[in-house]
Amino acid sequence: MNKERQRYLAFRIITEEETITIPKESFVQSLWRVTRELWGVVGAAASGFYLMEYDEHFKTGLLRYAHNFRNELEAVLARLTSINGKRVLVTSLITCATINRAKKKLETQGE
Amino acid sequence: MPQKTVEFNLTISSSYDLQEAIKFAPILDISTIVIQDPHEHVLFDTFPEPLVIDGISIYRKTILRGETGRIQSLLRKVRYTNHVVLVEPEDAKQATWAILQPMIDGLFISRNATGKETGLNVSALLRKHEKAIEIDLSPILTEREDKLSRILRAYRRVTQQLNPKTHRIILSSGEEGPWLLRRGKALRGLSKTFGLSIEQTAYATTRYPREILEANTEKLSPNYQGGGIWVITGE
Repeated sequence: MNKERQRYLAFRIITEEETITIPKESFVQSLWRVTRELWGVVGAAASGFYLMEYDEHFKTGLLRYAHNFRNELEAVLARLTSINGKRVLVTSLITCATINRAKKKLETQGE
Repeated sequence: MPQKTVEFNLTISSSYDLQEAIKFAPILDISTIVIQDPHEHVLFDTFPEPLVIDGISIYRKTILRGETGRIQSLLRKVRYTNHVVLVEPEDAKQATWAILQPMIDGLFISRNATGKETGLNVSALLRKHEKAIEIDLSPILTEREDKLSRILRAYRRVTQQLNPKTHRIILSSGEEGPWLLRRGKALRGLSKTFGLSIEQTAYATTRYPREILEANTEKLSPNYQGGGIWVITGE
């Protein structure tokens, strides 16, 4: 069995109104719910998801995941259509092997 | 450099929907949008050339549903006003009929699918006539668990009959409006839920839809006479 390696994905949440904020807890709950819906509990366990950073103001974040779960993660983010009853669109900004590169991308989003 | 995504099916219920889609397109790496506009909110004064708004090319399509006789009567009318014409088949018999019609570009598989729309015969005809089969992923984005399982089961049955190396499988997600538009990579990731791998859908959101749009735009040109014959005018 191949050793699991970690990868990082920077993402951005788009909401109908710019001023709406999405709390971190709500995002994490929705992420796990959708992961279980699509890939089951076993898949969720293998995903290695961990929300490393999240900015409620800019609605951007940094997610760590297992390298072999990348396409599944794209599917999970695609299925996040609403959080707390608010319509959202979650899009990945960059996926990379080093956390620094992902952080740099997030910084440019915040500017 | 990776090709930009073609969203092959966006339903427009108001002109605001198109504005929103154009706003999302650069964020989602989408360069081309094919719209279903039954109430004609968008004026296509450049037809057959695509409409270009903020660098995004807009094409028009129609999906025909219902009885074969009705589809047949509508076909000639819609073919010359749309870049893409697809049929959502009720069963394999109608799918076979649709594939054999030169005016139809392919089949459309959506939430109504039962899995009986394709079989070995349909699969062979799709390959022989190089017709496309579009799979609508919007139900995978919106439906909850029990209904989702049924839809995934139907999609699995449909795609099991197809060979992604030889069939033109196209993925789209905008059937229910611009908020369901997704990146090409996300659509390919979603197709894993019904058994297609990322490698198998390499061209499902880029090359295949683009080829259909380019070929049909050429065919709809007034100078096109058919079978590679063109009227050449000028000095």
